Amino acid sequence: MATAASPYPASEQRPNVPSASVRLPAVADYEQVDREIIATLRPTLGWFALLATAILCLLIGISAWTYQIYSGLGVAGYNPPVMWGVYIITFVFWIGIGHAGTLISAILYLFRAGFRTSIYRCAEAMTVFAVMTAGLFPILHLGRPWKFFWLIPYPNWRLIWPQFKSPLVWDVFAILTYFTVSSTFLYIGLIPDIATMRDRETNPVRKAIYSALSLGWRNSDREWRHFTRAYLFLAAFSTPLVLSVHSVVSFDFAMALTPGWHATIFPPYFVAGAIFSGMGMVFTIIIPIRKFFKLQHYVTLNDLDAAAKMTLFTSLIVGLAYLTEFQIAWLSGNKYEQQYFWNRVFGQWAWAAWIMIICNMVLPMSLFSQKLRRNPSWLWILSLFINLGMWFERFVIVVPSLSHEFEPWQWTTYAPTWVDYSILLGSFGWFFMWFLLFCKQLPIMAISELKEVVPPKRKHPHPEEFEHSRDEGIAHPQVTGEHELPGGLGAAGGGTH
Amino acid sequence: MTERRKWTAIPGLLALAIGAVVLSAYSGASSSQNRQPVQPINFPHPKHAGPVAQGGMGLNCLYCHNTANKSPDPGMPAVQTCMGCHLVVAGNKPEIVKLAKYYAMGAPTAKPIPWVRIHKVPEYVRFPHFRHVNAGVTCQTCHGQVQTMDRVYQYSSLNMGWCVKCHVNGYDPKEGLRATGYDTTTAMTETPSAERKRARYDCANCHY
Amino acid sequence: MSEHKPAATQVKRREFLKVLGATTAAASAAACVPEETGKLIPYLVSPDQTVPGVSTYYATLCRECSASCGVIAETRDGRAIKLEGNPEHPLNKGALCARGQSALQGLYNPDRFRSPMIKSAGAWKAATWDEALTLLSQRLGEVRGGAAQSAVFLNQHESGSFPAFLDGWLASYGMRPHLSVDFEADTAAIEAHRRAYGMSWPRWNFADAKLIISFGADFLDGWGASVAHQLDFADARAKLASAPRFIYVGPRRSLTGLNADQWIASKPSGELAIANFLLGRGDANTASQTSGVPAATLQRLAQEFASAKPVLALAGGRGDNGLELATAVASLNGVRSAEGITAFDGIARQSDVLAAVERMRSGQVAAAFVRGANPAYALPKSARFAEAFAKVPFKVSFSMYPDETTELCDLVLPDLHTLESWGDAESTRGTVTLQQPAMDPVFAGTRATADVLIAVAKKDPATAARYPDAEYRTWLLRRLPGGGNPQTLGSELAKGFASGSTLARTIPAAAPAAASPAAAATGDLFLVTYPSATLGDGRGANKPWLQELPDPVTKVLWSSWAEIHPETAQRLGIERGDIVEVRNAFGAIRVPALIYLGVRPDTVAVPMGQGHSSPTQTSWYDGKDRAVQWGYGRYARAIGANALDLFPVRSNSGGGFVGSTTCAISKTGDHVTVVSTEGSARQHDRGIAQAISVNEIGAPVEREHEKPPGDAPHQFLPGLRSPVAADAQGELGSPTARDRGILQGMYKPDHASGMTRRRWAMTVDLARCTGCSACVTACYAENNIPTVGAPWQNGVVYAQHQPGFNITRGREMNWLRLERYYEGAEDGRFTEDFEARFVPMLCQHCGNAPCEPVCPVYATYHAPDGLNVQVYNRCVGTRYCSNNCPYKVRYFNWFGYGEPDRAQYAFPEPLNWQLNPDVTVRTKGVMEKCTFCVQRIREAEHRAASEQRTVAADEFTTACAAACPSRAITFGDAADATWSVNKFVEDERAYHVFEELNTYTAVVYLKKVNHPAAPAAQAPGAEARR
Repeated sequence: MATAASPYPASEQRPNVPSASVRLPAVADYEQVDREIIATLRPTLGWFALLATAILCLLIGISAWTYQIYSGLGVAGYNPPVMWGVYIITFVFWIGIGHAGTLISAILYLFRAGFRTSIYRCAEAMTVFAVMTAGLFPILHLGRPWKFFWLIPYPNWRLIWPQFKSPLVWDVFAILTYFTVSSTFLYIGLIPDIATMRDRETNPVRKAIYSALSLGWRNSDREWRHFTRAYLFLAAFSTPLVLSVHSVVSFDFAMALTPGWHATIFPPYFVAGAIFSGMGMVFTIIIPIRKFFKLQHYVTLNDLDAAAKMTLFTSLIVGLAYLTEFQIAWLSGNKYEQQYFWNRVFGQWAWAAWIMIICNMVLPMSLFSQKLRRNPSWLWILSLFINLGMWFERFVIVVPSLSHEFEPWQWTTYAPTWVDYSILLGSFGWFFMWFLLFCKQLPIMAISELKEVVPPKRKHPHPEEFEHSRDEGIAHPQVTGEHELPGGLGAAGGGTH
Repeated sequence: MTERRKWTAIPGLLALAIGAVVLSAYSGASSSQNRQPVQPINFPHPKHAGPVAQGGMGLNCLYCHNTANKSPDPGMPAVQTCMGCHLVVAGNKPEIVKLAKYYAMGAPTAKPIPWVRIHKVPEYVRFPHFRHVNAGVTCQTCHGQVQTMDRVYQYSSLNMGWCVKCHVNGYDPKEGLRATGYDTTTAMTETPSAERKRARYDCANCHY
Repeated sequence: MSEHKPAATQVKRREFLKVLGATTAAASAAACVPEETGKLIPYLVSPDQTVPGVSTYYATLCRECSASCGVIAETRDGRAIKLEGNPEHPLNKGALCARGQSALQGLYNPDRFRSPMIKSAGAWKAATWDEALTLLSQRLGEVRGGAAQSAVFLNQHESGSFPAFLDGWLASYGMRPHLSVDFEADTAAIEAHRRAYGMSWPRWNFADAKLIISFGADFLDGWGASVAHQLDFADARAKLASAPRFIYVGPRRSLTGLNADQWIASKPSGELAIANFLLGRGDANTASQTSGVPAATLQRLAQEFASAKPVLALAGGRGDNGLELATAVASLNGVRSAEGITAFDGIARQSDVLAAVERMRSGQVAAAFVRGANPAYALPKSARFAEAFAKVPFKVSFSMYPDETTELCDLVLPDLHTLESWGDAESTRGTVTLQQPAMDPVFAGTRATADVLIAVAKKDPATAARYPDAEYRTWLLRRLPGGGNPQTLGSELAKGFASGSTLARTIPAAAPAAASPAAAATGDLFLVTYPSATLGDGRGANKPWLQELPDPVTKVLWSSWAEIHPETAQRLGIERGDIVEVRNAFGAIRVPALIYLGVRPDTVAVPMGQGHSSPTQTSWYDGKDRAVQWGYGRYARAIGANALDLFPVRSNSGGGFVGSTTCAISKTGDHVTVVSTEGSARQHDRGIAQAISVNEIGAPVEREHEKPPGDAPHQFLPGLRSPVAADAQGELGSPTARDRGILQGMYKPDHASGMTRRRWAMTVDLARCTGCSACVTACYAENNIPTVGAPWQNGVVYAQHQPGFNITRGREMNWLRLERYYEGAEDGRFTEDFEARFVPMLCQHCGNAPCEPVCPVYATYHAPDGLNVQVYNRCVGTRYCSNNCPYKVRYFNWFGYGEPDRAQYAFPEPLNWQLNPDVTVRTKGVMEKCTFCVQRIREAEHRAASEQRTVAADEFTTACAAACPSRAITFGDAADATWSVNKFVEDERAYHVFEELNTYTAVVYLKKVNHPAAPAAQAPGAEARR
C-alpha cells in the first residue's frame, strides 16, 4: 500500500546496506525525536500487565529456589553423573544473550555501521540485564549457595585462596568485568538523553533524579568532545570483552576432559553462538517495541534487514561449528568421542540435537531471502526459534556429555523437575522485569544519536499544516518501504507532505 | 601521581578494604573467644592447679584430665574422682555439697555433672590432644593460664587461621613455657625458625 | 564387662553424636553464629580398661547366618561401631560378608522392641518384665503334663550350648526338644553330606581340585558357609596357571555361576540326569532330554571330567530330587575334605517344620514359642502357617524385631542381640567360638532369652532347683572347655575361641523323610527361587545397608524382580521394567521384569527376601519411632513380592524345601524403572574390566583390543612408585618442575613432615574378586555413608514414595561400587557362552587427578602422601569435580541425609549410634568420595608417633580390604617396597583403568584370568572374547 507519490529520491527507497548514511525520512526534526521517544515513557495498562506477569514469574522462581535451598539440590532433576543441568544451561544461555548487545553498541559503533543507531540502546540494556540474570545461576546451582563468596579472592582468616586454575574462578572475573563495563557503557551513552529528559521533566522528584544522573550535562561543546572520546574509549574497551567473556565461559567445558566438552573449537564456537542468540533476543525485543511504541519510522526495515543479515552470518558460523565437531570426533579416532557423538545425534539425545540443528542451522537459512529479512513478523517468529534453539544448544552440550561419559556403568539420563522449570521461568521474569522498568524510565532509543541521522529540515510544511501533518505523522507516519506491515501504519497513509 | 589523582584513588581502596573486612567477618571468623559460661559447680581451678606459692595445690592438669596424653580426648574427671578427696576434704562447703548431691554415694539417683563445654572445634575437625601434649605443647598455649582463672573462659579463637599459624610457623617451646606463667626466667630471645616444632598443615591432616 | 583385646589399644577421637554436630556445625557456620558447644558429660564412675575416645575390641561371633563366623567388634565409649572378621578364627580368617557387617544394623535397628509386649484383646501394649514373666509362667503352668508334650519351640538354628540348654529347659516342663530352623539351609544337601562324608558340611577343598563342577550349589551366594568357601575358592583360583577350571550346572547363572568358566544350563532338577550320565548311568541322549542340555555339551563335559583329576563336585539340594542329586554328586566328588563345618549340625528339615505346622492346624499344640525364626514369612504361603498358628492357644515370640510371625503371637519377650549377650557356637569341629557382649543392651527393656528362661524356671519351685545359676553366663562359662577358669578364659575370650567342644548332644542322623508328591503343574515355564545373596531368606530386609546393596548378579536393590531371558521376553513382548504377573496354581505375584542372559529361556527366576507384609503406615520417619513398626520394620515395608507365595508345600526326600515349580507369566501393562545401579552392562571395549586367558600368562600380552593403540604397559609405574612430589603433579608433569621450584612446602621431598615419603595405593586382583560385594557394605559401615533408597528419602518434589526412587535417579552414595560387565551374547539369543567380569570401582586417587584443578575453592586437592583429598567443610558444591572425573566415583549430598530433622535422615535413632566417630558425617550440598580410609591412615600414624616409630609395612588396611572374603584388595604404601602392595603392582596382569588419560591412578587392577575349555572342547569364540 505504499503511496505512489513519494517525495523522496529512489536512492532512499531501496533497502540500504549498513552504513553511516542512514536516513529516517519520516522524522521531521529533532523536536519530533524528543517528543516521540519521550512519549514512549508514558506508562500504559499493557505495560503494567506485562510488568505484573514478569514479577509473578520472578516470584515463582524465588519460591522454587527457597524450597531448593531448604531441602537440597535433590529437588532439582539432577541424575548423577549428570551433575550440571538446567541451571548451567540457562547461565550460558543468558551470558550469550548479552553479547549481541555489546557487539551492536560497541563493535558496530567502531565500524560505523549506521543501522545500529536505532537499536543499540535496547541491545545495550538487554546486555546489562542478561548479565545480571546470568550472574545469578552460578550461585543458584551451588550445593551450598551461602558459601558462594569463597570463589572470590579476598583476605580471610583461613589463609586460603581460591584455586586460580579453575575455570569457575575465571568465570567470576569474566562476569564481574563484563557487568561493570557494559553497565558503565550503557550509562555513559545515556547521559545526554537523561539531560534531555531532565529538561522536559516537570515532576520535581523525577527532575531531581534525572539531574543527578545527568551529572549536570549542559550540551556544551566541551562536554560533547569529552563524551565522544569517553564513548569511543569504552567501545574500544568492551570490544575484546565480547570475545573474551564467552571464551572464558566456554572454558568451563573445554578445560574438562569429558567427551563432547574437551574441544579447542569451543571458544570461537561459543562466541559466534552467543552473538547469534543475542541477535535472536534483540529481534524478540525490538520488534514488539517498534510496533507497540509506534517507532517503525525509527527502526526501519532497513535496520532490521541489516541486523538479519548479521544473524544469518553468525548462524552460518554456528552451523559450521556443529559440523566441525562431528568431523573432529570422526577423524579423532577416539572411541569415547565417537560413541558419544553418535549417541548425541542418533541415540538417546537425538531429539534435543535435532531441535538445535533445525532452529539454529536450518530455519535461519530463510534469511537468505530479502522478503523474509524485511518481514518483521517472520523475523519475530524466527527469533523465538533461535532463542529456543540456542537454549537447546547448551542443553546438548551439557547433558548428553555427562550422561554418556567414559564409564559405561554410569551412563544415565536426565529429566528436569518443576523446580528447574520454575527457576528458569523466574530468570525470564527477572530479566523482563528489569527491561520493562528500564523502558519506562529511560529512553529505549538514543535520542542524541538519532538526531544525528534525522534528515535536514525542509522549508514547508507551514506551521498549521505542520501541526496537522504532525498529528498524522505520529499516528501514521509515511515510512519509506513500510508496505507489508499487517494493519500497517502506512495503511491509513495520508501522503500529506 | 598528582594530589588530585591520589584522592580519587582512596575511595576505591577504602571500598575494597571494607568489603574484604565484611566478607572476612561474615565467613565465620567470628568465634566464641572469651566466652565465659557459668558452670553447674563453680570449680576453682586456682585452688587445685594454682601454684602452691599462691595457695594452690599445684596439681598437674593430667591428674584430672588424665587422658590428654593418651587419647584424642583430654577426658573429664569422673565424679568419683572428685569425691575421692572430697569425701574427707571440705565436705561442708556449698559447692562440695552440690557435688555430693550429684554423686549421691553412687545411689541410683546419682547423675554426672553437666559441665558446660567451653573449648570446642567444629565437628569436621580432628584434634588429637595427645599428639600435641606429647609434642610438648603446654596446655596453657591453647587454654590460657587456667590455673589462675576463677572461672574458665575460651582463651583462644580456635579459628582455623589460629591453628594453621602454629602448624606452619612451628611451635616455639620457649614461648610455650612462658605461656604457662610458671616460668618467668626463660630469656625472651627469639627462637630460630629451625628449632621450632613444625607440624603438617595438609588439610586432610585435620579434616576427614 | 570382660577382657578386651590387649593387642588392640588404638587411638581415635571421641565424639558421640558427631552426626548431629557435623550438620549443625556447618549450618551454624553459614548462619554466622558461634559453634554450638553443648555439654561435657563426665563418667560417674570411670570404667576400667576403657580410655575415652579410644576403641576397645571384643572378639565375639556373628549369627547373621548359621555358619557363625568369628568377628571382632570395635567399640568406642561403650558403643559397637564396626564389625570385622576375627583374623585368627579358623572359619573366616578375618573376612566378613556383607550380611555379617550388617549385624550392626540389627543391633541398632530403630524398629527393635523396647520392652515386652502383651497382646490383649487383639491390641498390643507394652508391658513390664514382671507382668510378662508372670503371664508366661502362669500359662506354662496351664500346659503342664500331657499337653506340654505337644508344645513347639522354633528356634533360629544355632550351634553351641544354647540348643542343649533350651532342650533341657523344655524337658523340665515336659516338652519335646525344639526345632532348630534355618529356612536358608539346604537340608537335602546336608543329609547327603552326612551319609557320604559323615559330616553335615565339609570344608570343601578347592585348592586340590583340577576341576570344579557345581550342580546348582551356589557356594558363593550363601549356600553353606560362603565366607569360608570364598576364601578357599579365591585362593584356589589365585593359583592361576594351576588353578582349577570351574563349570556350573544349573538353570540360572547365580553369582557362583557367573564366577564359573563355563555354564551348562540344565533344566531345574535336570542336574541329576547329568550327574548320573557322568557316573556312567544312562547315555548322553536320555540325559540330554531330561536336562535340556545338548548331548554334544554333555559329551565334552564327560571328556573333561574324565581327563581332569581330581574333580571337586558340589550339589545343591533345592531340586525335587535334591537328596538323590547330592548323593550322586557326592560319589562323583574326587576331592575329599578332612575338615568339617559343624555349624550346620542339627538343622531341622522343612518336612519336620511342616509336620509341626500340621499338628498346630489340627489343634493339638498347646503352646508355641518362636525365637529368631520367621516361619510366617519364610514358609511357602500354601503352608497356610498363619491359620495353623492361630489355632495355638498360647504363642510366645522372643524376637528382637517385629516380624510376620511375632505379629501373630500373644506375648513378645524381646531378646538381646548377639553383640549384647553371651553365647557360643561350634562352627568348626574342635573349636568353640565364644560370644561375649560387646556393649550393654541398646534398650534396657530387652533381655537374653536364656536368662528369661532361667527367670521363668525360678518362678516355679518344680523347676527352680534345676537352675542354680542366676544367669546363663555362669552356666555357659562352666561348660566351656577349661570350665571357664579365669586364667584360660581371659585369653580365650581375647582370642575369640577356645579349642574343645561343648556339643552336648550328638546329632542323630535324621530319619529319611518321604518326598511329598509333586503338586499339579500349571504354566508353561519353570519357576525357580533362591535365597537372595544379600537378604538371604528375607531376614536381611530390615537392614538398610542390605537393602541398599545391589544384588551381585542383577544389581537390583530395594525391589524384587523376575529374571526372564531376552528370547522369552521378546516372545512375550516384555521389556525391562514391565510389571509382569507370575502366576501358578498356588498364587500370583506382580514384580518388575528383569531381562537376564543367565537364565534358561524356559525358566523364570524370582529371588526370595522381599515382599514382607506392609501394614498401614504410621508416621514412622518422624524420629519419634516409639510406635511398633509391624510387618518387618520400616525398611522392609512395601517392597516387592514374596516368591514363596508361588510355591507348593513340598519337601524333597531330603526333607528340604523345593525351590522349583512351574508358572506362567503375563504383562500387566504397568511399567516401572527398575531400581538398579547398572548403567550399561557392556564396557564397549573400553578396557575397564580386562582379562587374559590362563594360556597367555607369562606370554607377552597382546593389548590392542584392550585399549587405544600406542600405550606402553606400566606407563603408570613412575607415577605410582615415586613419592607424590615427583608424580604428575610435579616432575613427571614437567621435567623442569624442580628447577621452577613448584614443589612447595610439604610437597618438598625434604620437608620436615615427611609426608611425601608415602604414596598410598591399592591393588585389586580380579582373578580373586568374586563380586560378592562385602567390600561395599564394609565401606558403608566404616565411612558413615547414608543409605538413600528408603521411600521417604526422595525429594518430596516428586510426590514419589516408591522404594529406591532416589536410586533410579542415580543418587546412591556407594563410594565403592561393584561393576558387573558382560562379555559375549550381544545379540540376546540364548547362549551358555557369555562371561561376567566384576570390577570394584572406587576413587582412583589419581596422581594427576582431573577433579583437582577444576575445584574453585581447593575443596579437592592432592595431598603430599598421594591421597586425593576431599575437604567436606570447604566444598561449596559446584560438582565440577564429578563432571571431570572419568571414573565417576564422586557422590553428592543431594539432601540432608545427616540432618535429623529431615525426612531424608539416614540414621534414625539409634542407627546413629553406629556412626564412626572418626569420620565426618557430610552435610547437605557437599561432594564426597572414597578417602582410602584416611581416618585409618591417620590413626596408624598417631599410634606410630606415640610409640616413637614410623608406620610399619601392612600395619593397617582399609575397610574394604579388611572385609574382602576373597582377599582381592591390597592396600599399602607404593613408595615403600616393604609393603606387600608393591609385589602386585609389579604383576604382569597389572593395568590401570583409562590409563590413556594419564591420570596416574593409585589403584591398580590385576586382570581377571579365564580358564577356557581345553582346545578340543573349545566353545567357538571363547578365545576371541577377552
